[in-house]
Amino acid sequence: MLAPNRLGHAPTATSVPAPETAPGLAGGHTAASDPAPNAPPAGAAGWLGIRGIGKRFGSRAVLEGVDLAIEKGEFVTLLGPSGCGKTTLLRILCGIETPSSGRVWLGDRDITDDPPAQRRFGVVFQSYALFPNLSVAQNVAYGLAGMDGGHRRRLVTELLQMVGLAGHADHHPAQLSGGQQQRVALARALAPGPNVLLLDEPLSALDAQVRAGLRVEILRICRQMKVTTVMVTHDQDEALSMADRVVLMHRGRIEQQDAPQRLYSQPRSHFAASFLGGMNLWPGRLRADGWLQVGAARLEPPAGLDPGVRPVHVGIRPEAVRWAPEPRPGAPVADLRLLGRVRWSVFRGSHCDLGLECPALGEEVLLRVLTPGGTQAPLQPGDALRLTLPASALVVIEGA
Amino acid sequence: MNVTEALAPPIGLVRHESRLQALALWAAVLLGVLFIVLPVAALLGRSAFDAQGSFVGLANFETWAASPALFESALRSLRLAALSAMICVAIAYGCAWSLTMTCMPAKGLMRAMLLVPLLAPSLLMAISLIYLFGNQGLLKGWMGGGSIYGEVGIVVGSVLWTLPHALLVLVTSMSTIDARLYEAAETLGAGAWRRFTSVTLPASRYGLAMAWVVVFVLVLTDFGVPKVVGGQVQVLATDIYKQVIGQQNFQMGAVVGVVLLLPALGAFFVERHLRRRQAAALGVRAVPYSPRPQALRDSLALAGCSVVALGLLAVIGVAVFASLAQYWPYQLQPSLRNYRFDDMDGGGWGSYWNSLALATGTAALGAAATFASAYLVDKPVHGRIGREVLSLVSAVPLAVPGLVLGLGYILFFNHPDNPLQGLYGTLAILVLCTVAHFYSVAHLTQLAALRQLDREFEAVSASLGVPFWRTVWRVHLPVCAPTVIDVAGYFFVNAMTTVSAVVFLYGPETTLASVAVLNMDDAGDIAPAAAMAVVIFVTAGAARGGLALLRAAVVRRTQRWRLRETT
Repeated sequence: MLAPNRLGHAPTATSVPAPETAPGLAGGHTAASDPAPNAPPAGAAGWLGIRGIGKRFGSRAVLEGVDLAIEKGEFVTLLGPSGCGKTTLLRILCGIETPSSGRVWLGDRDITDDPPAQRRFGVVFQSYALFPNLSVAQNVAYGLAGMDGGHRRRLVTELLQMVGLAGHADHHPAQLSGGQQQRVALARALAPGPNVLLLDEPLSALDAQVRAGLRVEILRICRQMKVTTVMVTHDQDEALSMADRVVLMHRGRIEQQDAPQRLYSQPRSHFAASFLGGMNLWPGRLRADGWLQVGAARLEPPAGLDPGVRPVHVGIRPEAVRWAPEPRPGAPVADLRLLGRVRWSVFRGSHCDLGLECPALGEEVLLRVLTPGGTQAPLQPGDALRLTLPASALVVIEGA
Repeated sequence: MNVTEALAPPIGLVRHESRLQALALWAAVLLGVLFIVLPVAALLGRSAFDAQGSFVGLANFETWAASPALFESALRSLRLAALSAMICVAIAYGCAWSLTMTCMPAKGLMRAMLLVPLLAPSLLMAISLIYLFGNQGLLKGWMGGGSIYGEVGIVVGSVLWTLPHALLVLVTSMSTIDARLYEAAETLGAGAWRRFTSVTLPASRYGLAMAWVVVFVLVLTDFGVPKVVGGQVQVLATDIYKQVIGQQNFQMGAVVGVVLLLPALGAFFVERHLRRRQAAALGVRAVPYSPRPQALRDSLALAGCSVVALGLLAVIGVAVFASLAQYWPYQLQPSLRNYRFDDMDGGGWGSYWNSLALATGTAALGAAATFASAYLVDKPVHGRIGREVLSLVSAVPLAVPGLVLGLGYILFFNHPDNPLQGLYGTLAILVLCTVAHFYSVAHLTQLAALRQLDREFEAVSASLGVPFWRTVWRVHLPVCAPTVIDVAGYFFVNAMTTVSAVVFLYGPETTLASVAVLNMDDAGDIAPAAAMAVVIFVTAGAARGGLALLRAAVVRRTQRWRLRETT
């Protein structure tokens, strides 16, 4: 029913005249035609390359020295709290904002100074920005002015089928639900066959159920179109579940970028550790004998840790903490083994979050236990238990 | 896919789009400076020169202050404007309260009746007062031996024609009061009176102050009412007219103009400050209040509003009736003899057709220009300085009284060195001056409508490779069409009824209906003056009605999307 390759390329092939600029670029992988000293070697910086981007509004720096290389066809999310600069970076990518410093490359071409229209980036905005007076079909066809009528109609029909709105072509945006509007915006952005698709918090205006369904939809469509996608979000679930790669941003800088699983299991900073899900994080130090010391407890370090006495932080995810019931409930928690006692407990449906006191560590320990189907939690406040912190699950973050 | 192929510009002009916007922006600024800023500057400048053209500093102002008649009329102007504003706002507050805080029946009709005076020139009210309370007035006995000519007439006439202006400000302000405050007050056991004093009154205090300022400035700068019922009493507005038209003393006219400009300018800043405070005091998510029926309160509100509304209509009706009578008040059989304007001074029916042309031209040019300037102020991403300058220039007319602007136009465009001197005495300059005179409110209205549109429309069309003007044509204009039509109606009605700016600018070939009213009244032909005022009133009403039909048709055609049909 659908020919993704035609969808992806047709507008470019039919409506765009041959480039009159940039001679010498067509053939190759050299940047010889661009004498700029900071030009990266072509290809080395990825399909979409961001080099040392900085942005200041007055005296306030919103972005500082951001480097990022995105491969063709990759799905990347920019994740971070509000105010971290992720939306500004997206607006710089699509050309609405100009960076104060740094360059943006697409393939072997510097597009930093290109106006938005020349970049051919499709954008889906947080508000969708659908034209209220135009029908769904007219909205989707908005960027296809140069195409002949029959061709355009066919393309719009195919796109609407792809996003599951074939029957809504003549409706106006106000007649659609939030999720449907979102899909129209997606179809509109994809219609001209964009080089890159940019999504600015595309799901944040929707309620939780619709959001979960649309995540899958968007991923399916992006894969089907094989379009390089950059999505901005503040929702860690969204970032982890959709992206090939998550770029975690904090205060205008990239904090860490990794595949979702790796980012979750091996955060490299306080911020990365605490922003993605709950994390026990305790100050400690690495001892001369190679063990970790937290409070009065000695812990076995994870493999591959550089030796050398220094202050570190030791972390572990609450669900990775192992526990066993203490044989003598109610006994005093006095010795220095990892004994703990439940202080509080919060029921969360599929699981239960517990806070434990652990005199050996001298810190509160967060523990997550499954309560499948909402069964009674196996631990209650006051219960004593024995804890194990598996070395493989420990995360060591450098610095005091 | 080849990278460079994908990067080819879809439209060659794309790179020049922001340059084109910048060009349009600065062209708009230039026009604003030419038709708004420079005339006002010419007036300010002229006040510092003598008749021979030598610089005299503040000497003209010293002469002005030393002249007891002129200085006193300034004080009188302030006093009468303050008094009129107080009375007017008190009455309007009662009506606004009835319209927003009660369930009185026939709200729509009441509102429409109370707003009718917007369609009539202020002169019409003054002429009616003469028919009612003048030397041969129907109700002369009510004056108890006093005379309507003078301060009493000015205050009463001013209150009558400014009432709808105050009402609009107050209704807007009171309909934004947060309903949750009333719910909270009620659950805490506050009675009706306490709810009024502890919620309604404090929440509408900025509206009250704004309405007072608006009426104060309208009365201070109005020329029609004091000219017709002022008798021997002079105010600032009539002083300017006398100095310029009567004595050809442009320096002194300019000085009085500056004196008139100062309180208007002060009021402008006070009003702006109040508006900001009100906006800041408003909760982000205020819930609109919907009153519950309460028989006694609602009947009292209806009675009060009816008295005011019927009073206004009766006053207008008197002028209509008198203009249609054979010879008021002795022969009351109907006759159209007062409508044979060609037998009178003032330009005859020709001035009516001129006024119609002026109003049509002003409506078309004004609606187009304010849409363009509002777009250029709000939408382009670049050119922040240009946009701020344009925004500032567009706000200037709000602080400049019509008489001052009109006098500025003479001084600027009639200057022998001005290359645009050819405009002087043409209909074109009347159109330009009237557009400039009423620019600010229209510009702000268009701006508010454009701001309702999604901030990202420009970014979307840019990212889709669609030039901005096509998006303006396909999206902005259709969505804002109802507002554009409203603005055209605003310009039309004001161009029909205004006398203040144009009274200095009309020529023998471009006499105007509203000025004819003034001149016929001046010549003692009160009935024909009333007749012409009625013609203006009917024309303004017809235009408003016609535009309302057009608006409805446009809404049916282009605003289908507003109707939320279920799918």
